[in-house]
Amino acid sequence: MTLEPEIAYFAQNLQEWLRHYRGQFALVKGARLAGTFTTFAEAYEAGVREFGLEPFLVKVLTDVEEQVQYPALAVGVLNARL
Amino acid sequence: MPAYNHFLRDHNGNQSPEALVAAGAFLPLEIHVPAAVAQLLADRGLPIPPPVAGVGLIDTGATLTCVHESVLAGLALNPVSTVTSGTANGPVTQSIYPARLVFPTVGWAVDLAGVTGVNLEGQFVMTTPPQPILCLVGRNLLRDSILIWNGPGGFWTITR
Repeated sequence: MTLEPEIAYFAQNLQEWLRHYRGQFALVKGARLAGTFTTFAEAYEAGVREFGLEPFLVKVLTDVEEQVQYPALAVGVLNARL
Repeated sequence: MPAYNHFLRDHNGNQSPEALVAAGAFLPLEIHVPAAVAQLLADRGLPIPPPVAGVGLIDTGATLTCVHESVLAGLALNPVSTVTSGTANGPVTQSIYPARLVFPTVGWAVDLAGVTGVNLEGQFVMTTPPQPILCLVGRNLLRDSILIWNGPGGFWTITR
């Protein structure tokens, strides 16, 4: 997966970051927290400015990750794989 | 507030509830690279990938908007996050991409923080002729919209 290093670093540090930045959006590149931002858009635009077209991760700092639903895909009404 | 009205008609040109049932709420749209990426490419003198045009089907059951994954690959977009999706086989992790959706008939342009890439190969809106579905428009895009479905009238309306 393209973001494997960033996802691993995020998971390792989530509890620590939650103490300081709960609810904000983390911008992670490799094994580095490049910043925290109020909105996803702000974090994404900062990532593009700093890292250009290289992969980077933007993820909200929360205890419980929201699960999304796609009923039409999940039950096969549309034959698309998740 | 501009509105998009879509009247579905039968072969005689009459508004048709049955045609609306068959086709669903679909509309023309284009998938672009996000504005931030387009600006970066322009600043570097690099070509901006051309948008991909097609139709999107509104799916109020979908939390996030989904885009045919080959379209995202064609725009050379990197995933920027992940999300957990509920499926019949339990939760799975999916990649999230940024994308810009443009609705040319009404002039709307929306930079979405999160669209998911899915395989919509072989999925069509049942018009004459059928049109391939490029995108399922989910609730993250509908968040700022007013959507009206008029089944007896054979039409639907969206404003934002």
